[in-house]
Amino acid sequence: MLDAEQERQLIEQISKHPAAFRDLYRHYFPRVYGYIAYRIAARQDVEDLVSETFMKVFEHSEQFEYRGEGSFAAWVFRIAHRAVSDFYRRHPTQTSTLNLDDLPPVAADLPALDENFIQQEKFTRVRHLIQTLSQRRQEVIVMRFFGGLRNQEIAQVLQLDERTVASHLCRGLEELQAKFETMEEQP
Amino acid sequence: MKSESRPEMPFDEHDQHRLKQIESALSGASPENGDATAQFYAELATATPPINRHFQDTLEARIFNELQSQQRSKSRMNGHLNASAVHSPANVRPLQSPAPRSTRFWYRLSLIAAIITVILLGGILSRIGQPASYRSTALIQTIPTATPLPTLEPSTSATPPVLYTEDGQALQPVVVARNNIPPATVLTADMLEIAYWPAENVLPRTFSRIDSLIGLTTSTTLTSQSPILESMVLQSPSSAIELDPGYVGISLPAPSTSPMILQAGDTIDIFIQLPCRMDTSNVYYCLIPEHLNTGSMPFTLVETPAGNMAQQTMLQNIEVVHVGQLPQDTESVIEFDDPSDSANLVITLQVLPEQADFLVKIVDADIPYGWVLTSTTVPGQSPQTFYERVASAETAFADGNLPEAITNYSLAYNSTIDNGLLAQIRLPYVQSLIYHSYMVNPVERSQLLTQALSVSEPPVLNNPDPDAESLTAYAFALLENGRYNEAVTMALRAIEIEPNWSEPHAYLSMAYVNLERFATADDEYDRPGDEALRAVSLGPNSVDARRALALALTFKAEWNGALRQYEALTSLHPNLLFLHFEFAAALLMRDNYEAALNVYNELLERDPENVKAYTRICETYFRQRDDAAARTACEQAIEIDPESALAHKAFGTILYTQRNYADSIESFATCVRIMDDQGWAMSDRLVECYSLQGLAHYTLNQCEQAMPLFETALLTDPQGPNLELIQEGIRLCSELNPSSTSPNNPPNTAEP
Repeated sequence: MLDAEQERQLIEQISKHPAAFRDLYRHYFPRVYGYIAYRIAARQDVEDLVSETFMKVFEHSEQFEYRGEGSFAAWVFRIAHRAVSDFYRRHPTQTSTLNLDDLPPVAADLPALDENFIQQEKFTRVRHLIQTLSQRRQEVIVMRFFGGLRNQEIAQVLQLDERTVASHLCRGLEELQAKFETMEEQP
Repeated sequence: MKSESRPEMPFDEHDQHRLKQIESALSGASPENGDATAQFYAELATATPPINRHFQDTLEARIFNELQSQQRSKSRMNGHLNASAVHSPANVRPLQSPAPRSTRFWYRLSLIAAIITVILLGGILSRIGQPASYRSTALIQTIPTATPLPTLEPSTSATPPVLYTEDGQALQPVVVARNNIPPATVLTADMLEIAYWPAENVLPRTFSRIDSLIGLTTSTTLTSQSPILESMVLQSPSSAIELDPGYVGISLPAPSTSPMILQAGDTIDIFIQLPCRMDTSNVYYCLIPEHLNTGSMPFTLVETPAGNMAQQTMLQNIEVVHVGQLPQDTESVIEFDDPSDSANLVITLQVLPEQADFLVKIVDADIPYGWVLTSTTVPGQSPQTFYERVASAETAFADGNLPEAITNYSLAYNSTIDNGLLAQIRLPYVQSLIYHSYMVNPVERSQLLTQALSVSEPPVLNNPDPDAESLTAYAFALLENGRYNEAVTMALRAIEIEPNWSEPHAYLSMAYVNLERFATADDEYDRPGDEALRAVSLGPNSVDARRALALALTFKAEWNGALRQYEALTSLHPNLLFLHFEFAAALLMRDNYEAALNVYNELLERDPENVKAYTRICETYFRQRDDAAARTACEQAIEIDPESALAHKAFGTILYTQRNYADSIESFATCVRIMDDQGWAMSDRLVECYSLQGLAHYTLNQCEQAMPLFETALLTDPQGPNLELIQEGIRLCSELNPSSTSPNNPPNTAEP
């Protein structure tokens, strides 16, 4: 984990020290991947958009202006958010249905197969539930839980008021929890 | 996206509690027993998608190495395509703007060269079983990834010690090139030095002692301050393949679909196969990767064990320079899907750099490929590479030789099918075409503008996600073709992608100016100025940024400001002669004849045979009523180019005002004949060559000759400056009896 000061220092060093970018990449990769994987169905598309996002972050990193804690995260996720939006604009008929075949392959360095399979199954189940929410609530919940953004940063990415984000988050989670419990009760 | 200023719904204390629970869940805290909400949040927080670690590592290596490569090559890139802002036609991108594609390209090339060497030395290795799609990544990862620290003086025979930083990080000595070293150079101690790199970033097969390298021959270019790998040097110079100048070598594993036996010296055509499926109407749909420009060669549908494929020949007459087996005894750089494939046959080809880049891409993308033997021999002469052609074009552009620049950009454009490379030259190519169009007659201008559209339009219309360069080039072409609204759209799209690039703002400004000449919306009035100012602030040396600002200022009648921009432009880009004409034209708008004449004369010092400059001097003197000087200048123009319609028109006008009607008729008739010969469109024609010629005939009482000329003049330009005179001439000629319009009858007294 990076704290705000470490992140600021890494951002300052990007242009001189490629290793700084690597550290930022490693910090943000799971978050960006998590966000996009929840928003896009096919694994290949997810990987394409994650690549696109990081390539843009890389290409434009010198143009980024640090404006305090969270500003870099908001900037990165704005790029990711735009990539997802553009994807759906380019593929308007694209559904976001996911099946297990689309899930990432099991990597050799991950825990045992069963554990990985359980994780995949859990992800699939939650993803299906989240997809039943409105687009805005999906965005907010996914950014909060899987993108690791704070409400203030989500507000910046989605250009919303922070309280609106909090409201979407709470209402969305209420709705989600109700659906989750209903699903759990079903045989 | 519009910002929502108020919350969507009330946010209460209960929600505050929820947010705390969310924080708690995300921090990994265990929920209390019985707290269903907290347990649900905990469940949610741990439902992270499984990550494909191969993908993560691959992407990391790609970005990291591009970043490093970009740093190393920044100076080279600046000097090549992007730099020399003053001379570069596109003035192209802000310095901080990346040029990763070509950087990656050169970077990969050096890797390819290194691979070839390894193959030839028997140093290839086999790491079988990895997915084929990671081949290229595996190669990239063999490059060291660290920022070099200060170097030490060479110590040729001793192994330098490992150093440690204050925080305990080990720094390992590696031998680096002191400066760039070309291939086939025998290394000496003074070419090398020791640098200290973080140990974790130093790859195997580097050298830690300088004396290990002395006497060895380089197999590829050694970049200054980059560690030297074993694969970059030859133990014996004779083991190298000599490639023709301008070519590079690339090794490819032989696919099972091309089992033929090849030998060095053969030439082959390389094809790719793309999967196709047939719909219910028996129409085939084939998948073509977006990043591959498959060129214009026809597709052939072929049946393969993997299904129907669209087969397309991509490269022709490629020379095989080496054929070998992949050794089995060492670790691999090239990986096969199936170890039994073609008995691990590897062929090494001599190709142009852009062809090598294309081959790397198709291998990367796992696109099936194969080859067929051809009988065509390799051309004897060494062609210029894409980059050499671009360099020639840039030089010609900087020298103001736009036809030469166009020729070279065209050759470069047709020498590659790589969209990334093409995107880099699209705007300068279009700019060369358009700038040259300002200097030629309307027929040639129309052809050049059509060419500008044909270069810039397909990459935008055929690509759902076009790059900023293509959009900008298209915006400029649309602008010059009078399609201002579309130009605005394209420029805005380019700005969305590259907000800090000068040119899209410039073209947006110009388009706004052209639209606002006819618009009444006051709220848009400042857009041209704002966009032009932004363009200049982003690219102070940009030709079109300052032209846009000058245009916007002219539109607002801020003449002095406009003139300052043109003055700066002619100073920054003195060899672009059209800028001198624009400067002079702006001066003439303020009736500053002397200054305009100075500009034309300065232009003539650069291009003593410039017919247009002599013609403009003629016109300027004429406006000052210095007929003698005007006549001299026009005669000079006609002497240089007897087929200049503009010069004949100017000369005829002088003669006409001197009441030398007969001679003026001759000049105007020549002007018309030239326009006919050259095929000028009616809307482009010089109306004075008809109207004044008609009036001269009328003055000579030759209404039979005058009437058709008047009619043509009215057709050509119904709102022309001589409209009233023409209408009067028509009226008087019409009143005359046709029989009385012969030259023998007394002329009428109407004064034109």
